[in-house]
Amino acid sequence: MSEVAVRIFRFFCSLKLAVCVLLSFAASLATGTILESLYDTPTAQFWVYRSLWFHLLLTTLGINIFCVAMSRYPWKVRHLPFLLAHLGILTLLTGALITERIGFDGSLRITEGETAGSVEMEEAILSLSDSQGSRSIVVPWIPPDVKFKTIALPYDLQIDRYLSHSEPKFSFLPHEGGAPAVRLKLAVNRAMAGKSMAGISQDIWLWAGSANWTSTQAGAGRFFIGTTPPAGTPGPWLAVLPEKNGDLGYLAFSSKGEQRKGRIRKGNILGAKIDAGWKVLSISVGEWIPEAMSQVEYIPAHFQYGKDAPPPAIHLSSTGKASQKNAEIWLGLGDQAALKDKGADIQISFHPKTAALPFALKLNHFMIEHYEGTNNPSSFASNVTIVGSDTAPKDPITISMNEPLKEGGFTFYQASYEEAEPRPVTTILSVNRDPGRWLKYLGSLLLVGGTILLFVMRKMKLRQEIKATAVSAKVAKGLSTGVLT
Amino acid sequence: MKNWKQWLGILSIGVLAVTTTVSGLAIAAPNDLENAGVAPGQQRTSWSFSDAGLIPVQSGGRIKPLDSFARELVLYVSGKTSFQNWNPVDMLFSWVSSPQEWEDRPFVQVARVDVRKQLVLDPNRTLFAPRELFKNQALLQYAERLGNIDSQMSKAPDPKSNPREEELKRLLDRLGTYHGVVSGDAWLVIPQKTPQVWLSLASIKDEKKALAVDPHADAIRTQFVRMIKAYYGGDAAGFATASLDARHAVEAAIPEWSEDMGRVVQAEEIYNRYRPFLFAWIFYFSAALLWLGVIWLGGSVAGRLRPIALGVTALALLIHVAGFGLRCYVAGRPPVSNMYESIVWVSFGAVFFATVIYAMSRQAVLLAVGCSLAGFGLIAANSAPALMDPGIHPLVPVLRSNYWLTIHVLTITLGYAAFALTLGMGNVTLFHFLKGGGDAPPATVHRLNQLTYRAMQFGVVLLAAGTILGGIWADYSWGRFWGWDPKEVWALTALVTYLVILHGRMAGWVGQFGYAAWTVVAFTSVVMAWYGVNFVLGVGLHSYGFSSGGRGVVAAFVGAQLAYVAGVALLRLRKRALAI
Repeated sequence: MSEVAVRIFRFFCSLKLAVCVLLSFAASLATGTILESLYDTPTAQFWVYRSLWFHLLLTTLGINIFCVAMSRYPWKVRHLPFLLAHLGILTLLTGALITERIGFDGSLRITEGETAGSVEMEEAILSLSDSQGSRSIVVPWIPPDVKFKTIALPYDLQIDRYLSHSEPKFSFLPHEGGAPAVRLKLAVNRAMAGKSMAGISQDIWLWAGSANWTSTQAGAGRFFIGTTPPAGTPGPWLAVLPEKNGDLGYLAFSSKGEQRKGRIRKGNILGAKIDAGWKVLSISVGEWIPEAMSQVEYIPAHFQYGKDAPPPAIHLSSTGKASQKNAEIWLGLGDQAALKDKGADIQISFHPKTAALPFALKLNHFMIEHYEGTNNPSSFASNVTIVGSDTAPKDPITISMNEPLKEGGFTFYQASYEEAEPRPVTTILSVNRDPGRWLKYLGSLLLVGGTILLFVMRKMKLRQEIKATAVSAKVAKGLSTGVLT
Repeated sequence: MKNWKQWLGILSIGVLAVTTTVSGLAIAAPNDLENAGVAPGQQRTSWSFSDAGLIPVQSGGRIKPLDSFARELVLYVSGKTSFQNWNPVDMLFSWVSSPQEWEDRPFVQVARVDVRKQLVLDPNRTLFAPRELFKNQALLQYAERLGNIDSQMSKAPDPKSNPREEELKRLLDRLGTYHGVVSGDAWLVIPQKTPQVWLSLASIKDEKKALAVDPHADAIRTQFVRMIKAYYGGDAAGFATASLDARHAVEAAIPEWSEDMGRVVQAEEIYNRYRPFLFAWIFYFSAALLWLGVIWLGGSVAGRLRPIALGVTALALLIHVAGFGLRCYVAGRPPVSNMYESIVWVSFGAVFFATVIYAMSRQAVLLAVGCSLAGFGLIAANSAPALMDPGIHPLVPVLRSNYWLTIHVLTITLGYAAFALTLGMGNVTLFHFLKGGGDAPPATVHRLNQLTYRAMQFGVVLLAAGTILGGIWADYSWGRFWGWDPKEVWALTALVTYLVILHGRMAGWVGQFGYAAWTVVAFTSVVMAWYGVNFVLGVGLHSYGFSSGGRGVVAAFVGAQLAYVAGVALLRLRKRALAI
């Protein structure tokens, strides 16, 4: 062995390196938890637990332990506890690495009576497909304040903006041939409403171009555009009815069933009052676009951290080359869109990564129990049947809090459920396959066993030492004083 | 009790009911007080409330004796375990029989000074009378606003969000709770089949149907009215017989009543009455003093003192263990589910390890330290009942009936106990350095450090095993061995911190003084893992233990420890510098 190699080996098996690595490890862990408390779990994982430097630190620890173990070679019986404890850590780390690399962890959501076999995972995926085939690109999550690096896509497209927590913002633009859109201003009448409601006002958009926008609920009232609810629908409701000649008609029903009809002339629509005959609410036209198209864009959400922070959104644009000039589009998680490229249709979708199980689960029944006289759940469980597997048992199986279902290498745990009235009917199972599991268990066993042996053997040595000091102390003091304190 | 929403409606009615008339049940009480021996609203000090205290009540998700129920209510409303030496059951009956006497008595707690300022109350008081609170415009407005927000979105309030808002909500809830006692709403004493909510004394009056359906309701109500009448009229004997009758009436109405249930209810009353953990600390401190005597007096005196010290230690441990056993029996599980229970358990662990190492080494200092730690631990646990709830509560689903979980929590907290012992021993070693002005006899320091080292070994093995057991349990019930959850990360951090000390010692970077000093410093990581994750960070999957409060005290404790280490280290550096 060359001298350099020996030096490197000595460096990696030094106790001082171990102390430094352990100290850095402790400091990193503390940092991770503080980040998680200040921000949220994904942020802590991005900066610490899943970061490159944290993996390097753990790798150094692994190399350190490996070299120390090798440095004792040839091993003797007295090395056994030391070797067990340290190889235990090595095994644990290996197991953890395997889990991280090839393990599988997702969640399965099933509503009573339905069957599901597609597991949803944390990663977000962008899929692009045309008649030739499809491609998927993982869009890695990054925290809100980190600069996003553009990701190049096929078809001369790119992801040029990324929002880790986004909310949609809809707008309506004039567009020839589009459907009419109107923004109504609703204001609560101070004199009529109770004290607590005073001063509340709200704007609502109605657009005849999509079923999602033709009607909306605001407070007690329901609002429509271009259509009226079925006859006999109880009030209060208001239907805004654009007419061919450009006038704006309306029809309103109050809660007492009184009907009002009216029409606003073409030129007077903007700012016009709509007399619906309601005492509590006054309504006026805030914006009026006779021919409009809708456009969605995503903006950073109000909640940027924590459990209430909504999912991410991405912005696609063309790289400026020939085919996709000026194409740009926002996609929120779960959104789909279509683009044209040289005549070919491209389907784009941005969604959580999913994986199909080799079989499916049918939720027969979701059960929840409460502590007596309270709303606090004492236990919850899912009764499921395995569908589409020849080997699996045909009988219904109950998955409960500490009783998972193991099937085909996958394990299903009762993780959570969706709150609903009068009782929850949708269960959330966590699905997992962990090839590193046995290594982690083995490592744990070695580590704890080795550490106990290490201390027991040292204790035997210590006892001899203490006896020796005790004897010498007694001799020194003279046996008459007796008691050792 | 904790659900402020259901009391909001009552609050507005409560303003009228409590301030103008004697509401609900109290109407049933006779008004001829001239002949009564005891004035209304006064303590019935000579009365026996044991039978009344044994009446089974449904509260907080389980059946418990009225005694526990009363204690929890009084603690919640007044923030005190015993309000002006009132027996809690006595106080409950006083509220319900003569609310007009309580209207102007300050006994409702407003814990935060910023809330008192916001409500334009006297900032120097913590207790206020119902009348001044019910008439408080700012509070009423807040309640109204809360009602509006509540109707718009039914999202559960985040307890971490704003401590001031939380205290306001709790205040409303306290008033609602008090009013619930007066009106009879809070007395859930008419049994129903599990898991249904029991009917309250007031519900019978309102819902004639419930009365018709439930055959026991009338009998139970009659007995309670007899109790209240006897209480109001100052008839001690009548109250006692009515209590017994009421107790039998309720027991007979519980569908699944058995002798075992009766024994558990009785055991809880005994546990409440004797409060074993409150007694144990006295014996622990006596034992600690005796052990100090053994150390300082030396010679033949120490020889004679030692068996006595051992005896008192054993007695204290016995009381501690008996209390623990009783609590296990009542709760039906090992008590390690909240801060109170875990401090009691860790106190026990510290004495346990001190005893084990004492058995190996016969070093009196171990038990002096162990007994002091346990004494301080038990005092700390009982010092802030409003913060560390001493009540017995049911577990969230994830913690229920799981063997591995119990073993995991017990192992980890035993590890904390061993580290607590190292903390105590480290402080003693540092004290020797302080006494010597920065230097200490090497033989003494070596001997103490050996003992500390042994405790640390126990701690390291138990914390490692406990953390791994936690992983096994998490794997078993959640499907993942390790998920970087703050609680598990901090357990690991504490473990690694102690490993740094052990390896640093071997590497020659940590000497005899350094070992003692770093041992004390390292306990900060245990404080973070044990207290900090739940009370300071407040994130992660171990959310069933979350709470807040006590930060000042814990920070002061950690600060004092660090300052002590720094002070002794400086002293030592100066001495070294002078020597050169």
